[in-house]
Amino acid sequence: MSSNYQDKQKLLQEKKEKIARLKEEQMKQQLQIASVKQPQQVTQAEENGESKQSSQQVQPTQNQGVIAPPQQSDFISLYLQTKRKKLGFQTIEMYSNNPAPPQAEVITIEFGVQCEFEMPQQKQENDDQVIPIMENVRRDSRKKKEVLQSAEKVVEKVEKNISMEEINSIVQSQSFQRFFSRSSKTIEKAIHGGEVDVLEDLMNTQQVAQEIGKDNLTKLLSFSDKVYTENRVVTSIQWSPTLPNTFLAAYSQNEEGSITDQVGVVLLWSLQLKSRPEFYCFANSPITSACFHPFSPNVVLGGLYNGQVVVWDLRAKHTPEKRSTLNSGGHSYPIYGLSIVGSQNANNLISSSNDGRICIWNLAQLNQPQKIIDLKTKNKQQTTNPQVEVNSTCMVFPQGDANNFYVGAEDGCIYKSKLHQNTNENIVIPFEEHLAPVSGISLNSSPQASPIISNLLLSSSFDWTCKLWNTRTQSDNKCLATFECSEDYVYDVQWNGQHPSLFSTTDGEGYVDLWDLSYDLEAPITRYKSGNNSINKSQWSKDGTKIAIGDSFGEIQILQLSQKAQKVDHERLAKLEQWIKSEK
Amino acid sequence: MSEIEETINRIKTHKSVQGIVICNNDGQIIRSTYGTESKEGENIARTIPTLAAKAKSTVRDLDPQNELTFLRIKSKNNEIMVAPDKEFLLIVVQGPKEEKKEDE
Repeated sequence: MSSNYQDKQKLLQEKKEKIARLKEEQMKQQLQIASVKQPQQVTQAEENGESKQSSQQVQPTQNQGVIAPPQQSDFISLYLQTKRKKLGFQTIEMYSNNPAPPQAEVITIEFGVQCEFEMPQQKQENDDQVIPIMENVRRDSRKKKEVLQSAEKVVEKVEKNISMEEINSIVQSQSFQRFFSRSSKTIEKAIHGGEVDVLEDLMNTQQVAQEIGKDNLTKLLSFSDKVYTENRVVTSIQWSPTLPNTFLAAYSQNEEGSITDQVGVVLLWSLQLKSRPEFYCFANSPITSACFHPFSPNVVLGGLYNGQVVVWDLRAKHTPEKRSTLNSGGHSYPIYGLSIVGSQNANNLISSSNDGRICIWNLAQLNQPQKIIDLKTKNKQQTTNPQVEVNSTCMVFPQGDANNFYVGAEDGCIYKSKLHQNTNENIVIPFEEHLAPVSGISLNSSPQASPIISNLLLSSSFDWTCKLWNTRTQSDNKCLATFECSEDYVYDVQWNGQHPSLFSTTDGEGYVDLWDLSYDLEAPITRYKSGNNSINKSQWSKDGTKIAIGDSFGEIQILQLSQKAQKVDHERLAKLEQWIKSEK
Repeated sequence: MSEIEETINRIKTHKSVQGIVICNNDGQIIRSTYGTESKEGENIARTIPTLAAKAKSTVRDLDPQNELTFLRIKSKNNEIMVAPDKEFLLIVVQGPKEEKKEDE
C-alpha cells in the first residue's frame, strides 16, 4: 500500500513537473507571438484571449511551438487522458496536430468600423487552473463571428438612421460648403480636361493647332458669367504672377441690373475651369482697378470708384478683408492706377486717383496712407507754380523701379514723376502730344529687350492714335512714332511681355491690332476683329503667348498668338534700335 | 445651399456624366443623382469610400508628407472620379471619353 502511495506521490510530482515544463514552453511561445504581431483585429483578440487563458492553450498559427508529447508511461497518460476527457478536454497532442481553427480564415474581413470586442477583459486567472481548451476555442471563434456580424449590423443600422434633417444640417455646415466648392472645381476641371492633370498647368493640350502663316491671333476661349458679368464693363485684367493660367478681371456696375446685384465684382478665372469663375470677390462700389499682390498669392487688391482701396483674401470670404476708409485723407475719386512696388520684404501699395492724387499705402495699415502726393501741372497760361491738377487715367511703374512712374492724364499728356523727390515740390515732366485723354500706357518689360528698347513707352488715346516714346530723351519730348490705324477710340495698348517689339492695341470697334515694330512702323501685322463690342482692357499673359481682352459687355476672350508672330527677328530688331538711336 | 444644387446640375448636364454622389466617409449618401430606386448610387457610396481610404493611406505610407488629392478610376465602361476630403467625398461617374469637342 505504501508503495502505491509513494508511486502516486511520484506521479503527482512528475505531473507537477510536467505542468511546470509546459508552462515554460507556453511562456516561450507567448514571447514569440508577441514579436510576430499582425495588424488584424481578430488576431489581436486572439492574443488578448491568449494572455488570459492558462498555460495549456496552444497558438494555432504557430507551427513551431508544437509541444512534444510528454514522455509518460501508459499508466499516467491513461490517467491524464481520462481526467481530461471527463472535464471535456482535448489533449495537447490532439490539439497541436490539428490544423488551425477557422480563425485564420475570418481574418480577411475588414470593415473600417471599429467595434468593441466583446471578449471580457478579465484579470489573469489562476495559472494553476486548467481551463477547458476546446470550449474556449469554440467560444472564441463563435464570439468573433458574432462580433463581426454585429459589426455589419452596426453599419446597416447607421445607414438607416441618417435622416433628412441630418443630411440637411450637414449640407448647411461650413465644412461641407468648403469641401464642396473645392472638390467641385477639381472635378469640373477633370471633366473638361480629359487626360490633362487637373492640378497642374498643362495648357499644351488646349493649344489650337495652328498652320504657320495663317492668322496671327486665334480665339481660344471666352469667359463670361450670366450672373456676374452680364452688361458690365471690364475695367481691369491681370494675369496672376504665381498661379499659372489664372487671371483676374474687375467689372464695373451692371447698369441695367437689379438692386440686388453685386455692385463691384472681381472674378478670378482659370483657363482650365471654363464653366465658371474660380473665385469671386465683391465690393460695395464699382471696381475700377484690381491687381494681384505679387508676393502674397492669396491676396487681391482693388481700387474702387469711390476712392477706397480694398484687400481681399481668397482663402477667406468674398467680401474685402480690409479696406481704407473714405475720410482718411486718401482718395475720394475713382482709383485708376494700382500697383505694388518694392521687394518681398519691403513693399508698398501705390494708388492713383482721377484727381491727381497719389497715395502710398502700407498694407498693414489701411486707415491712413503713408504719404500723399498731389500731382500738379502748369496751365498753358501759367508760368510759375503748377496749379492745375493732373487728372490721371492710368499709371505704370517700370519693372524693378520703385520711384519713377508715368501717369497718363485726361488732358492728353503723359507725366513722369517720382514718388520720393528731393524738393518739396512735385516736379512732373510732361510728354505732350496727344489731343485727347490718354487711355492706356505701357512700358516695355520684355526680358529680351536691350536697354534701348526697354525705355520705350507706348500710350493710347481717345484721339484714335497710339504713340511711341523714348523715355530716356527728355530734351524735346517728341514722340518717336505715331500709330494711326484705328477709326475709333483706342482704349488700351500693351507690350507683349516676351517679344521685345510686339504690342497690341484695342479699340472701340472691337479690333485688336497686333504691331511688330521690327517689321513695320506704319501698319499693324494683324487686325483681328473680336466682335462688335469695344474692347476696354487687355493684358498679355506672362509667357507672351496669350492675350486676354475684356469688352464693354462683360465678356473676356483669350486669344492665342501664333508661333510665327512669337519669333523674334534679331536683325530687324537691331535695325529698329539703330533707328531709335538716330531719332535723338 | 442652392449654389450646391446649381453646381451639381451643371456637372450633371455635362456631356457624358452619368451620375454624381456626395457621401461621407462612412458611406452615407448626402446627395445623389441616381435616385433611390436604382442601387447604383448605394453601391457606389458603399464601396468607393473604403477604396479612397486605402488610397489615402497608401499615399501617406509612401511619403508621410504627401496626401491624396484626387482619385480617378478608368474602366472599360466608365470613369469614376473621386475628390476626397477629410470627411466627405464627391464622386462623379463619367462615361467613356469622347472626342475632344471644339471650344466655342
